[in-house]
Amino acid sequence: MSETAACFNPLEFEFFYEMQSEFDREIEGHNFRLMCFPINDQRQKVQSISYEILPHTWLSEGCDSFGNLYVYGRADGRHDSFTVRVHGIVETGRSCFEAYEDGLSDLFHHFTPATAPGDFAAAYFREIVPAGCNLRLCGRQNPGFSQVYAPKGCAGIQVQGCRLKQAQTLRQGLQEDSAPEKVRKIREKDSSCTGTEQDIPQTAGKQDDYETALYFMRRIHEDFSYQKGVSDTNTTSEQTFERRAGVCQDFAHVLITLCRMVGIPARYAAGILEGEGETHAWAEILSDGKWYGLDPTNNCAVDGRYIKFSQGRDCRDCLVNRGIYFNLARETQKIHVYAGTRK
Amino acid sequence: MYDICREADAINEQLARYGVKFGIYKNNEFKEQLFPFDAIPRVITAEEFAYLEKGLQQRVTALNCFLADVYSDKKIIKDGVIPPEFVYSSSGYLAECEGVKPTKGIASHISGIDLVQSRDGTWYILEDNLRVPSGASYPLIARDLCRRASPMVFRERKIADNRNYAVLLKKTMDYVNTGGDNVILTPGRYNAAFFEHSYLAEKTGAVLVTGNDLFVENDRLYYLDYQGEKRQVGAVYRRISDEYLDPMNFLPESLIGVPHLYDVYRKGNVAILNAPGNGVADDKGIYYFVPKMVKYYLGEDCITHNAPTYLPYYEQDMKYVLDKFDEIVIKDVAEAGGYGVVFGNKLTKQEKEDMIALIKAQPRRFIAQDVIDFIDLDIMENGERVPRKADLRAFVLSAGDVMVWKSGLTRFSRNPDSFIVNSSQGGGFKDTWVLLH
Repeated sequence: MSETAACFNPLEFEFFYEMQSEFDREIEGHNFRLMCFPINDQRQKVQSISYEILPHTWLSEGCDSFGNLYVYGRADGRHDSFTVRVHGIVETGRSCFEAYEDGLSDLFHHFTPATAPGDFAAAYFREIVPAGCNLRLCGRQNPGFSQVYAPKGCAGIQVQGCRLKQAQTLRQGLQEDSAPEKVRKIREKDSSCTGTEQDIPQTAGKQDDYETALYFMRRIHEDFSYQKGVSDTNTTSEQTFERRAGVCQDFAHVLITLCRMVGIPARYAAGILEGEGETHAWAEILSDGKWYGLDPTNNCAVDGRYIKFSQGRDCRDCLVNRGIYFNLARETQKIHVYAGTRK
Repeated sequence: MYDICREADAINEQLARYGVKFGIYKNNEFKEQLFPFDAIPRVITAEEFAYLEKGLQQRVTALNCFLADVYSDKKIIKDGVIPPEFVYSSSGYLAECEGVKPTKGIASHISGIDLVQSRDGTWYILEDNLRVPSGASYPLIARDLCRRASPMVFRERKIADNRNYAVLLKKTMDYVNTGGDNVILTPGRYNAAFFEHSYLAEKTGAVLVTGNDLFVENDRLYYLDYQGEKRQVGAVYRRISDEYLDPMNFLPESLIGVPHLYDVYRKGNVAILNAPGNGVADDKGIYYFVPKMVKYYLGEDCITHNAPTYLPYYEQDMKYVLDKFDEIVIKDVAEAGGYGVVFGNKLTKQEKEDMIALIKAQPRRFIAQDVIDFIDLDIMENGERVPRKADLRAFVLSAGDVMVWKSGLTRFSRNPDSFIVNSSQGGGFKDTWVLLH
């Protein structure tokens, strides 16, 4: 894969993920499921991994339909704290994309409750698509959205996903009209963000979808403000379109919604970013048969500084920590993440 | 037969004593209703049943092929036979099932196929129920009671004995069992079909359990027996819908499920009957495509007949729906149990306009069918024979062989003006006799 080699220099990361939950009273019958383990794909390769989960009665490992690794188990006894520690070494940046091979691209065309567009998504779309441009929501309604996810009282909103072919013609329209300049600007801006011009994938052939998604990403970064505490894991992209604020999860959802609205398959990715802090989330879009990561929170393409834990339709598929237990305890959670290149 | 009619009251009394009831929630209140039994049986001739048997075996085989394909290679979508929207926007589609192969490749172990017979004798399929079809226990226990009330009736006539249902069901569970006991997982006694769960457990020798009785340890599923010993479970005939099955993988608020059950299933360490995700194949929109599935997977013409069905999703069908609005019945694909069914000619002008607007706005949400003038069956009401609309739920069990139970649940509407026979709408039931020759 000479093309791959031209993109990035592989980096070797050592990372720690630590989550500490405290309960204000003792809980019992605690079942949990954790998804905070880097996956092996074209871009990253796990060299070693170890984890510690306390307390637990038993633990087991699994792999879900999206290829995500998880550890599940139960802690029977009464306890008021729960600790997860993961440590590993991952080689990242082995490629700037992942070849599409899982047969699920159709699935990522379709909206989920967390990413279904409504009035606010439609309004935002009209706002960012330049006047006179051909890129618009088109033709046939996306039946999936209207049937399953339309909130009561707004049945038949004119927000319509469309068939891929139509969408592509429209996107060509965008590029021929007013967009090329903008897209070029994004590329320049993007380069400054990620370091070198090479960080933007330079694949041959059709780049329409990628460039459209880049444009969306840049607009989201400009128009939405990063704000903690206004959203949670149940927040939908439609709510974020209204609020124009949120955290990385919401930014990713908004980008996913916009892409799916014009027929570009898009998926959610969760993981960590170089440095110290919390877990991170971004979006991946399918263009020219390859998945590319785009991070609307940081306005850049995903490169070797990102370690991916999981991928799915939206954040619900990528929850780091799922748990149920008995007792009405209040839980406070501290998460600490560190990822650094190995000297 | 008239002997049985004379015993009808006594049989109904026995049914009530056995707790043959149907629980219904209305206005947040749980009410148990008796499921009224009518003693006049539906009679199916041997030739007719031979035709139905062949047709149903073919249909269920194709549906199982579809379920295996749609959660793996998706050839039928790639080959353009079924538009992807109909799969991915179906509320029964579960992405969690992608790439998961059910034990021995069977997804629909117990299929309940609803049919009606039109006046010209043609049988039409109304819908396929591949999730948790209920109802087999009712004709089963009714037959048992009828035989006790009037043994001579069954001695004189050559009627297929339907009391082998439990044998077929046990065979179906054993066939996919991965090692361990068979259990029937019930949501509990407030479920509409709790009688059925307990009766089938008793008859098949499976252990009747609720979610709290089952637990996962590492990679296996267990329950504690009466001695407090841990016993492994190899097959779960669950009577709980997909979303409530496992709070760690599906709806986290479910209290009736078993945490991590799906993780164990994914590893092939327990069988779940019917497999999760089957809802994608019995969606009312997918129904339209079943004859195409038969052709696609088996290379045969579909033996069973679908009711003439139109998808407003397709433009020409939309036109038909608008033109013939007064002659068709409209069904909401997301609803079941007789809810969300609208007859075009029964609507007021305003309702009609609203309905048309709704169909135009959400075409994927509805299907339309020609109203089939199906034959009435006589029932006894206050000592008189009166005709009522009735359908038939045939039970098809897949365990390597595809077996059609030589009986079925015949449901009828007690309201003379109603076409809707669902038990949740207050209908009654009859025994179904299949003649041996």
